[in-house]
Amino acid sequence: MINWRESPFVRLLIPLIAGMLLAYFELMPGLPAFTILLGLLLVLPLSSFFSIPFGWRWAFGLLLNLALLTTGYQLTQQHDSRQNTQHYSRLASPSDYLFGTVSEAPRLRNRLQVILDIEATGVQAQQLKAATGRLAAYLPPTPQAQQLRYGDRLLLSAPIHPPLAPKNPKAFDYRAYLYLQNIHYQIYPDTSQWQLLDRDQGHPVLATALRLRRLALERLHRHLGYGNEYAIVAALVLGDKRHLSEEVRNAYADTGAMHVLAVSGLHVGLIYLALAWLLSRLRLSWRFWAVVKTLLLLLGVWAFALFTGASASVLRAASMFSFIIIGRALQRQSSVYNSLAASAFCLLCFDPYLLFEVGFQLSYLAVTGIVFFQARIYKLWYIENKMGDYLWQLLTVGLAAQLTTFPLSIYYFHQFPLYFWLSGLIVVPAAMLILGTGVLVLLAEGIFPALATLLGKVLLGVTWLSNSLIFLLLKLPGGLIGGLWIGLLSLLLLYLLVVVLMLLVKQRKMRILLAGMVILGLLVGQLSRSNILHQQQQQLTIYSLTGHSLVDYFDGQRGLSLHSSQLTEGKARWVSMNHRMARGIDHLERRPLGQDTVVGERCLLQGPFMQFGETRMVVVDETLRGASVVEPLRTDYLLLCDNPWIAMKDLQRHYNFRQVVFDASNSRKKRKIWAEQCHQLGISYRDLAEEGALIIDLKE
Amino acid sequence: MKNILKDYFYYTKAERNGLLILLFLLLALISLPTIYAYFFKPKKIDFTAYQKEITAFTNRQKKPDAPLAHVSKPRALFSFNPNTASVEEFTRLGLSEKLAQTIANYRNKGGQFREAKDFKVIYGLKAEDYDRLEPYITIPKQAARSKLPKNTRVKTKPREISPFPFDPNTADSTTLHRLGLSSRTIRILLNYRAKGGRFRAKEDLSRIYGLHQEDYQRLAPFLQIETPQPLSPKTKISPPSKAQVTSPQKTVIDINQATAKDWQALRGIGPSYSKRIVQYRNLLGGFANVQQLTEVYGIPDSTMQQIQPFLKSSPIFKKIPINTADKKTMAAHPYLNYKKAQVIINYRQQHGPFADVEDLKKLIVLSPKEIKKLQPYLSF
Repeated sequence: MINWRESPFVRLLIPLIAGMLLAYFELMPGLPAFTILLGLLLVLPLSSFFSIPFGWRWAFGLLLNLALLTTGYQLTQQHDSRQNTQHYSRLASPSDYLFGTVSEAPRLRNRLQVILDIEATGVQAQQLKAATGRLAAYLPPTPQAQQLRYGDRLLLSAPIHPPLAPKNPKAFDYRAYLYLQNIHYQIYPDTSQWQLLDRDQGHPVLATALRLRRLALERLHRHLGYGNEYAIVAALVLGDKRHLSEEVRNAYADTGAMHVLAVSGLHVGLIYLALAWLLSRLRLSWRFWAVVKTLLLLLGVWAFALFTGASASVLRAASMFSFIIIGRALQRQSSVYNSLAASAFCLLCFDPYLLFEVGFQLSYLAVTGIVFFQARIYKLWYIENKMGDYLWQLLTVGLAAQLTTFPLSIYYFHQFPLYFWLSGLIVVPAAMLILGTGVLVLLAEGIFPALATLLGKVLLGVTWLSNSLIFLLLKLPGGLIGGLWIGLLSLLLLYLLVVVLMLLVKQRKMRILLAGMVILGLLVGQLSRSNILHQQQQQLTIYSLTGHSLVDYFDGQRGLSLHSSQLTEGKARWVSMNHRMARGIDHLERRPLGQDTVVGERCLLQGPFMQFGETRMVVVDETLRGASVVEPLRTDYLLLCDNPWIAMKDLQRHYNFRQVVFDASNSRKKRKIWAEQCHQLGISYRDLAEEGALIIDLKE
Repeated sequence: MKNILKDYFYYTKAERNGLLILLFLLLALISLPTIYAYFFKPKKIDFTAYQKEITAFTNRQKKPDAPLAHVSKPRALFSFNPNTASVEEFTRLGLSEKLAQTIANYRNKGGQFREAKDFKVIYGLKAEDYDRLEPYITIPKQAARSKLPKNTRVKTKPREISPFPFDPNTADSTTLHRLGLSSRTIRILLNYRAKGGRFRAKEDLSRIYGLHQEDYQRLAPFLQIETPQPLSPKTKISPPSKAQVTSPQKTVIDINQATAKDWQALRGIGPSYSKRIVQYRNLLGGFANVQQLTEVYGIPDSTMQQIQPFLKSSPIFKKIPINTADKKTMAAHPYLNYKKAQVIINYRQQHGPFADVEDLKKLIVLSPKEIKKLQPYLSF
């Protein structure tokens, strides 16, 4: 069925990935991986001294698999830089200075984000200790800080903090995002707590590449101005996504063309194809031509990778294509899958965390899909017309890639752009043109400025056209299926279905079809199950959102959202959208918190007094001092919003409650005072700003 | 072609059965949520009990507390003149002591009630209290005599004033009063003079804070200023001429010993600046040099220039024991803050006491400039 001889690396990759998964999700904590590996490495060579009985022919393979599994496990564990005894978090005390070099181009948000490679720590120059590890520093965006670039050496003196877990359910996990980059601490120095020591301490090749890139950006800017066109060309040709407006990002994401804006496999692939085509025109009868051709291809791909900022995704794509190039050059009959697997194997050994990066997963799946499905779909329809044939080819590439990536993109992005094939038809040729002319403009600038100006106009026109087409596509009705939320189980079942489809394409066997139907049944059953659970749910969520109050009540699939008056919808979505989606909410009503009077079937709102199901909640936002009470009101939860002037003993006098909740609209000082009072009085409390959102299951 | 299609659509019996069962199963699974939604109806909840509790609770809350209750208790009411009634009378009328004091203060500052409505403007008087008292407010005719638009309380009296020639450098308060200036403006003017201020030209008068432009226009033709001296930078800084009535600037002030009152003797330093200076001095632990006065919030450069010759520096009176002081003490010093104090303490804990100022330079949180400023206040 599968020719393992053709692709040996596929067989090696599977146990390696399994080991990495085991380590990353801590499924087998405390596995003595290294010892097992050492033992296996002692046993395995023995096999070459003995002839293995035929009945035991699998034994070697099994042990080898085990060895690879432990290798994956060990690699992943070791990759966590905190394992290193020289990690700065182990060496530095709060008062110590940290010396580090800027390892990536800084990014400007509210503060300036600078990723540092820490080199040393200590109190003064004489007592430095060598240290390692990466640190995310957030500097105040002073003009001085904005001058920082790759290779600058900084001295910092401020306490380091581990990043915080997400405060809200299903919200973006910044901690995990940093973790995958092997960053485990953050630092927030103020202007007096950091100093620039040296410049140009980085790797000279990378520094040169980044300098060239800055130069190139300037040149592009001169030809294109500062509009959307410049932003798109900068992203496409140079991998600089900073200038893309939210509107453009959303338009490309919603039409399924986002992959064009992120420099990755597509771009490296285009460069590779263009170079390969150019070189294939040259048919030299030179003996070493094949070797030189391969080297030229490699050089081109890596030059592009460096030039576009050497971001992780580009480096990954470049290494992937390098393997394909080398694989092709070595033996023409070796399968592309083998090259892919080999590149994945090497990349993962180098950085096991890549396995958990969305870009990595999507890249490999897309290429696998294209390699497997594209030729097969293309064969189905033969078009004599050259133009038509070209379009059909493009269409099949998009379709093939989508077949293997759609479950993952639904899982991560919760939407499916139905017109991906149309946008692909627009955007891929446009990307080729833009990449080509973009590179030409940059090259021509030095030699024929007039030509560069002319090409610049062409570039502007092409970009404008493709951009307008994308926005036109956005206006088509029914272009986007949004609000899709699938769990891990559904994702796995979807991929099993994709595998079944692959098998069915290879051989039409009834058994495979039946297996596919069973898997489909399981998938549908799982989706139905979660739908029924959503119909039954009765849930109250109080989000943790600094400076604001937001409460969601889910009654089945209908939601009622209560929010503080200054809270904008955009800000509320940031914390609540994923949670609502995961809970299958299909209808949402918004009201101001603690003001309206609504009597529903299962909920009552009467100003600050509320009841959801059988659970009562009162919003306290006014002072209670002075007023007298004969009998306290019975309630389950008290919600304190917007720094009310309240002492806990007064609350006790007025209400008979289970728990008091301080949400993140209260100041830190206030929350601290209340927490102390609660401790003294023995009141149960919950501080949402510290502990994250409160989810109350109302059915209990 | 026909056969291919026929073959394509052909399934064996076992296959057919299996597929059919699976298809039905799939259909059942797909329609399950819809069927469930049809039969499952979450129960309604009765809120009447809660609503009753809420009503009872909110009604109860409106009743104020016992200690405050006496305020609004109905009292025996009697006619009163808000211009003359005593604090005790106001409290008997059911106003709080604080409010009665407010009224008295208002009157002491020259406030008048010309009609009953004026009583409403008293800060802190509740509308219902006013409604209650309004019928009992009696204001004799002569007090109400001059009915004015509301916002003219401080302004000059509308009675005809015939200006007469005067010298702003010598005119006393009654003269000024006769010229139609308000008592506040007169006080400012006299203060200005008492501190050595002089009107050298007619325009100088217009700079008096609180003097309205129209008043100045009215009085300008009558201004008679004797011995107008030419302005020169020297005369500005030098102590004022002997013409001043017992010029207080003759004495030199010790920046670390002078009390708030002493400071006020200087020209340009009033009660609030003097207070600020003393407070800042206490925070610092004394001024190490005269220039530090410029750090006091709000003191203008021109004032600083003028008073500088009268200032005498002296040793500071409080130092920070940098090796023993706790975080709070250090952070309280204007030249330090919590962050910096924490760094100092951390350093101390790690590396032992600071030997001298050189040690401090190892902390990057303190710039050399800051260390220089801080140096006089440190003891090791």
